[in-house]
Amino acid sequence: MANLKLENIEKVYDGKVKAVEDFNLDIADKEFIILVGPSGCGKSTVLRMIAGLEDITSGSLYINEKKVNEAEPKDRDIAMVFQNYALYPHMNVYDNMAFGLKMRKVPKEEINESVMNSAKTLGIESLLKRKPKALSGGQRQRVALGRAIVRKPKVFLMDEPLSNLDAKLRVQMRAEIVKLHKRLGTTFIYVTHDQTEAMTMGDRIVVMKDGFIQQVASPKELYDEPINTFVGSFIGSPQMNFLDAQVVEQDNQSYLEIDKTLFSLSQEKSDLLKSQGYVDKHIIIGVRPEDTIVTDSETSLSAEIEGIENTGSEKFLYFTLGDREVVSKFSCHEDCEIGDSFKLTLDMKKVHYFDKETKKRIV
Amino acid sequence: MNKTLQRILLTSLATVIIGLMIIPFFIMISTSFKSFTEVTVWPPDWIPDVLRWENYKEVWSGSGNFKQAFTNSLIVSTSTMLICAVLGSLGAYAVSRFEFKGKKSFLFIIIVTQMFSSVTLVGPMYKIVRSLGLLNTHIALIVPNAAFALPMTVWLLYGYLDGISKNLEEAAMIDGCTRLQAVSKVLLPLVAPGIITSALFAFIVSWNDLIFARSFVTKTEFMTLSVSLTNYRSLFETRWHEMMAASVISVVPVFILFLLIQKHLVKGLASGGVKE
Repeated sequence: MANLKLENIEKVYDGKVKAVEDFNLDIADKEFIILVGPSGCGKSTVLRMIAGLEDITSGSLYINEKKVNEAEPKDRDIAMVFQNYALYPHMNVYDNMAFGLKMRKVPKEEINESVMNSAKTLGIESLLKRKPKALSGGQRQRVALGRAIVRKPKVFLMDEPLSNLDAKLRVQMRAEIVKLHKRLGTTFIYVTHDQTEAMTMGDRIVVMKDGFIQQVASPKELYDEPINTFVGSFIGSPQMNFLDAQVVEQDNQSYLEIDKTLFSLSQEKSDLLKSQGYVDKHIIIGVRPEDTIVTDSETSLSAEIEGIENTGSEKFLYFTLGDREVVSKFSCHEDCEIGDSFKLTLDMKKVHYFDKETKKRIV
Repeated sequence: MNKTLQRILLTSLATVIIGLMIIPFFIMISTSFKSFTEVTVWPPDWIPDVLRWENYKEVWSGSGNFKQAFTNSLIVSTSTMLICAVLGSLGAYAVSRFEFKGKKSFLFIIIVTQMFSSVTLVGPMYKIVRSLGLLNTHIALIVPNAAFALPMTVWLLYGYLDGISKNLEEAAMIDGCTRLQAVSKVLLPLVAPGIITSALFAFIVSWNDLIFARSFVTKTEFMTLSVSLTNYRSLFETRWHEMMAASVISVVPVFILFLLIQKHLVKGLASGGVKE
């Protein structure tokens, strides 16, 4: 049971390399929060600062309203699952799980009960006598989770815990961790570089880049209203398409000119762009692959298929429009081959508008 | 067919090499059981008719002060070993776990020190030892030997520690350990084979040292084994049989040490430390 507050957290290495800057975040009790971003964005550093494994250069970290900047990791009552599991190689599974309780001088019978319960929860009762090196990757992952839950900590920290597993197991463990979170009702802070993990697991997602928070929002909000082109491209797979467009006005009607084709804008969007002075200016529009439509209409973009990815249930088609590569998603029943010409239009209700200079969403 | 031939060739090659390595030992042991006259017989008798154990008795309790030298060597080598194991572990831990200015050059210097033989250092070291008034003491041998073996122990242990993920100590610290507890409860059991290996290395360096022992000690009561082994030569004769018996005895402690710890060494290698 814990809420966390990170206030103006900053991490500077060697007095010059800024790893994390101006990090502000409130994490509610029982929340499942995900820190996501490309490698080197500072997400693991934030997690390690919360754990106490890394000093906080400036700013304040509160756990349950208590400032813990200077507290030792052992005094923060947190548990952490590492990417490489960090199981103690010289101890068997039971001792690995019991270690934290032993260090806290919990009576033996109580330790035994906790370990047994956790082992049962994770389905690793039969492995208790084994050493880590005799376990498979998935089993090690479970033991690492077990070692964390045995202690009933206030906060769970997970640093890319699934990235060493194969694809199938990863999907399975993803669901198990979500279930575990529901059952334990504890605050989870989870670091990943995988946007699918972020979207499927978190209550809220913190997208980071170059040490800065880009956006904090629910998965749905991140997907529907990315705050800038980075978030737009990072969340969603295949990623959002970006096209150059110009806002033009003809006969009192606003249009978006893309690749010499005019698409009419809704009144609402037209007002928005006008009020912010974007008429006659170039902007960037973002279109998700599923928001492109095959059409016979005149107002369309023509393109030639350059690549096809068939996933079974759907097809991703790759085109070039202007100098940008564009991906479209179609359901599989449509027959098409590389070299075929297509007419494409955009679902204008779902187009995202970004400023060309600042790359920020136009709102 | 080809494979069998290859194996026969390899096996015979290995046998020849091992034979060449064993022959000096065999001569040493065989000579140690001969009498003075038997040593000079040609062609040599590989296995003497009578095993003269009295050679060993003569060496051990004879006039050569061998027992004292043996004890001195044990004192000097054990102290060197302990110093190197403790300081080496601390040094290696610091280099492997902490970032500090000059870390790379430190590691480089460690390797560079290994390029100098003890002969080049003995002159300046003699001056230091003399001005400290330490000539003819055990410390005069312990400190130079430790100084000479320490860089290598740090380097060996650094390699060992660096192969062990930092996350293990961090996990232990989150699990409720202080840094010291994390080191003693998690790291130490894992690097034990490494510490034993490097400690043994330091012991052998010190046990085999002749240069420092020759230079910093002149009194017989502080003489070490390596020096005493040279005492069987005089102006008129070399008592090969006694010298060889003394050599055999001097090999025994190192041999026993190897026997005792080889199990750990093999275990350490087999488990591969920590695999990520």
